[in-house]
Amino acid sequence: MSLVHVRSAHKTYALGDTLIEALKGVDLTIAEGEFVAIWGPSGSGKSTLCHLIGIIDQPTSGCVEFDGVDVLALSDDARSDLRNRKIGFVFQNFNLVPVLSALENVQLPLQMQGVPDEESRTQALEMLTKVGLEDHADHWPKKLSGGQRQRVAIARALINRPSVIVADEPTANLDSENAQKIIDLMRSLNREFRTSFVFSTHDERLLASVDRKVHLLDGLITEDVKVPSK
Amino acid sequence: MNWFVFAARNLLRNQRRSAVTILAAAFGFAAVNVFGGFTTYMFDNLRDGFIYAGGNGHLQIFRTGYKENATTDPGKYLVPGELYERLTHLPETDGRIRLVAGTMELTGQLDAGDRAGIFVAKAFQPSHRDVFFKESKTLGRGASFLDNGTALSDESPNEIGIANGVERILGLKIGADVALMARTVDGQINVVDATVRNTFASPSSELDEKLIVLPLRLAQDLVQTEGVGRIAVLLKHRRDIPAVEKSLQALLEAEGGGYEVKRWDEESEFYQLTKKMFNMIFGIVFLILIGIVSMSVMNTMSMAIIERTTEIGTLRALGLRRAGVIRLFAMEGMLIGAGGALAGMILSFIVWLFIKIQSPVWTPPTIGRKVPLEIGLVPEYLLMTTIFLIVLTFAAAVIPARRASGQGIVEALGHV
Ligand SMILES: Nc1ncnc2c1ncn2[C@@H]1O[C@H](COP(=O)(O)OP(=O)(O)OP(=O)(O)O)[C@@H](O)[C@H]1O
Ligand SMILES: [Mg+2]
Repeated sequence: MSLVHVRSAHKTYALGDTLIEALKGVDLTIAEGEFVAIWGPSGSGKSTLCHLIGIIDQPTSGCVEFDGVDVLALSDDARSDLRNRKIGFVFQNFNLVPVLSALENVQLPLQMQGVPDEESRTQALEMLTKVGLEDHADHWPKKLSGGQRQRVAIARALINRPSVIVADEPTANLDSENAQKIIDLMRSLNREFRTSFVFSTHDERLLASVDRKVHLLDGLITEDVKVPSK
Repeated sequence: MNWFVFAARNLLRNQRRSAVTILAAAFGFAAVNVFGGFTTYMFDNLRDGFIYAGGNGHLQIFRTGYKENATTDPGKYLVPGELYERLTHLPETDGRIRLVAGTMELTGQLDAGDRAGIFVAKAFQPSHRDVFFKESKTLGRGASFLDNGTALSDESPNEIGIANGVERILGLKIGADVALMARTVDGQINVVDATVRNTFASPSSELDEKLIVLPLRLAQDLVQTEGVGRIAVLLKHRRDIPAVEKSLQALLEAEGGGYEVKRWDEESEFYQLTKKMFNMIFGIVFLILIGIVSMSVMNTMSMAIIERTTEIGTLRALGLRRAGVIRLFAMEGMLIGAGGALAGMILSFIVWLFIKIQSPVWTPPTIGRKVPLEIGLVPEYLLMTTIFLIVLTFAAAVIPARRASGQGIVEALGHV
């Protein structure tokens, strides 16, 4: 079943007098449990597309449906709640809150829902165990390595058992060994939780284990290849 | 972990900035309370100075027209002696009333043998005066304002007190014999002999060279009446003023009317004017402090918001609603307010203690002598300022936070 449906999405940025068309009519459907890579050169529109899928931005024209609902029709609060419950985010710069411990960072999405502290701690610790960081639960983000930070961010994205996790260049700030580890981790969590993952990258080496490769060039999808699962 | 802890940790991110903001709030808090404490102390003393030291009582009774004509034709507007006599028994039947004291104001000439001068006299029964001094709770408690000599007494009806200025210009010594000359109620000139028993500091410098105090009996003999000018009614508790005012009005109405009953605050113009002035000064100081505190909180929160733009974007992407962002920063503002109130309370207490230990003196108007300066920290004020400060810092944080919560998530995330 289709989870996210991006329909003839255009995105235009005004940069002074010139208009930059970041997306020039993109159609994309993400199904439940898919592991999708969006790849392409710098400036091809990967981030822009990720923002649309994650409902943190709106297309200039076209539409985005989530679970069959047109997200443009939703109020800001409703979109916030949708993100909180159904969408997870992993950022290029990890974006952990520096004053919160690893565990507390993972608790955040639950805390936003008002889940009692005790309960969210247990769940967050469980999730940290899944990403192999149970020993680092009390560490501050700045005491963690890049790879560890990104794993905390993945645990945070997954804590609400969302339908989809959007990761815009999650490995851009990691060395190639750690980058592959992060992709592998996402892949195994994708299998375990049946959560869809959409990540962008410009590194073709990371495409080995994906279900589907969406190639973006100059704001258009030039190739959308499903790889038969191994 | 909850939002509160989160907010508190955020304040610790830039400790120096938070500390400076909290300190600004604390100074504002302390300034309001110390100044408020001083005005409270001052108003209490002005009030009690008027009621007790001034011998005016909580309520005053006089004939309609007395105030306007007291100096030109006093005789016509006196309260008859017979009525006054009955009123003096009121404390026996009305538990709220402590004392009913007749007074008289008169002018005349004071003859000191080789020199003479105009006098303005206040007359009262000396034993009544003692009651006023004894009942006083603040300034002048238990004391009179005598500089030399001893207090007047009912036993020596011909002994009088004179202000220092009178002593100086007429060259009078304690024990000197003088003659007092004035018009009687019938318009005749009358003279009585008197002896100077004490000298005192006049409450106002204009009166210093004229003011004398007489036993009521002597004044009545001088103007040849049994009546009195004003009657001061001293109560046991201030809260009874409105009720006693009503019952006195009813009682005097039954006597045929033509009398006025006035509360102390209606009669003390000086108190009213001073209070108005100080309330205005207080209001201005308060507004300035509100401005300083809210601006400094707003500035701090705006800076924090700019520094944490990416974080706000992250929280929003994770599903925090706009209101959640506002709430977080509002909490941080409120914590500054609460911290400011706490530090401000400590600061106020230190000032209070300092003044207590140093006990500086000042000369308040209407008292005419140096008294220790005090500030009374009022718990209600402290509580109210605390609440007010928290509300203020809350509002000052909400304003920039609203703007921050409204910005686009992608722009916020991309902010460096
Ligand atoms: N806020 C913006 N204002 C103006 N132009 C923008 C803005 N954001 C993106 N663009 C432009 O839109 C185009 C697509 O940008 P986008 O960030 O989606 O590409 P990308 O594939 O993620 O590139 P990168 O690999 O560098 O991250 C680029 O030309 C970029 O310069
Ligand atoms: Mg990008």
